[in-house]
Amino acid sequence: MSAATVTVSASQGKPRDAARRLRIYGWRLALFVAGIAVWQAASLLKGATFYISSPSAIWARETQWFADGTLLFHTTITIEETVAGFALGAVAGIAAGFVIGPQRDVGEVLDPFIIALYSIPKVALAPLFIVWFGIGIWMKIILAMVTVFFIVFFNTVAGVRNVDPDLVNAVWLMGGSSREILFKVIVPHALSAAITGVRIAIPYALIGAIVGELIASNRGIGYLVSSAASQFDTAGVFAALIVLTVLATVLNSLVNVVDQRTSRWRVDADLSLRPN
Amino acid sequence: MSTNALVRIEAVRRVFFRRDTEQLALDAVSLEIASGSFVCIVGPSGCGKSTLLNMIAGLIAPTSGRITNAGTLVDGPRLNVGYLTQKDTLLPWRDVLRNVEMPLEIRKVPTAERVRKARDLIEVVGLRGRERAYPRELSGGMARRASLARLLIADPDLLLLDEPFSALDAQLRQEMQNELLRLWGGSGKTVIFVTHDLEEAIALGDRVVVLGERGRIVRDEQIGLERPRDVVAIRRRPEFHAIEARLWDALAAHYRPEPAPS
Repeated sequence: MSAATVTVSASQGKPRDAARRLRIYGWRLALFVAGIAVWQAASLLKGATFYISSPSAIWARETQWFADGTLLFHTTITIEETVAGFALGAVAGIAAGFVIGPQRDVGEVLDPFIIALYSIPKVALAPLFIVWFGIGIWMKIILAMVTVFFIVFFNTVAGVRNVDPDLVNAVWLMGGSSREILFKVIVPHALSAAITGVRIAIPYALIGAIVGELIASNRGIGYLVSSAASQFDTAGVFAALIVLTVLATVLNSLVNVVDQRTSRWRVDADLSLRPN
Repeated sequence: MSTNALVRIEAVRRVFFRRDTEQLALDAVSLEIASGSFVCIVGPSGCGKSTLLNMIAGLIAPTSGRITNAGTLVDGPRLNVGYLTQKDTLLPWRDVLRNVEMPLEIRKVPTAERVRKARDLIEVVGLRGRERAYPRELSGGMARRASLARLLIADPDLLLLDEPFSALDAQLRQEMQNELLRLWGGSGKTVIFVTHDLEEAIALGDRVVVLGERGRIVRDEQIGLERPRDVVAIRRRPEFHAIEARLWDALAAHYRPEPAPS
């Protein structure tokens, strides 16, 4: 479907399309510059810098952090936490989904408990994780992992359970054994649904890591934000937020890459634990 | 009993249970399908045509009565039976080539051989160049062609087709009907083709069996039209219209509109 749309839009009125794109980029740039200009102008008002700092001060802080290595150090920490938490959560979610998914009775027994755990705002778990894992990197990894885990787990379970019975019958009619039905229909369907979960979970891994850093930390971008704020260093807060924005944007484009690579064949499973 | 019957359906009855109520889908159906013949089964929706086909395929068992295929009792799916359902059941995560290969993959045919056969059949059904497309990227007609290739690759002796072209537009349907006749002609394969379209049944079949409610056979007619046929040309023949009128009367006489579907 997407391939067809792409060819159509590419073959129709190319020059007009290019002009339109250029215009849109032009407007974006203009809006950005105007925003910065208004911000800079507003910062000249008496006492305003305390609340909104100024683009020039933020830029100065950014270059200073870049030069002294602060930026690289804290960004690396946050990326490590995000990636580790994401990987562990995704693997655990897929594994748990495959174990619990096929066992309808076990799933039904566990259902209310899983929903209850899932419903807890993950931020509220942070203090408990501090008690269990200290304020080091593991607490953030676990927080990111827990967030990712549930999203991937629910998708995988749904993928295992909501396999189209007609597809199962089709393979059965071809002479497929139950083992072949498992490995050629159920597993690919569940993995495909798990990828949907993984894709949704990517930004949540960053949220988990940042929340952990905001609550208790001495490193990471979340720490940069909170430590700057506690010193009323507004320029520092904004500088850290900008780094965070860049990181989140990169992760979002990763989501798009996963989308493009898998949308040709991915299935989106219905996300209810009990389909019937 | 004729001696060359491939499929024998003997006093088959099938009851479904739905929310504590019994529903009689088929009652005392008996039918013989001659080996190598093209038999069309026509009937209004809900007459049990698909149920009958599912039982011949071995997907479900009769409540009473029995079905034999080549002299042995049907008690599960068989490798020499191909079933094309109304709905496409191509696996979404496999491209056309890998979908078509699937039956041979299950038979443990070596990769090189099954790829070669799959490519041949993809060519035969007119899907060349779409080997690497995923089912989602195919139009309804192309998906049908891919399903047909997957059905034929296993080289089944008995083809069960359940309203295979009903979702296609009229022109594409005729094209696929001719394609099917071309592929079947001289193959010696037995075809059981279920449809609710009387014209389609007459145009394709050697024999048309009209089912009434609960699978009661209200008419069983040999179609004496010549082979090979062109499904478009044959519809213009006066004999065609005579047959159609007779079968339509049989269908209409026994048709009672159902209450609201459950």
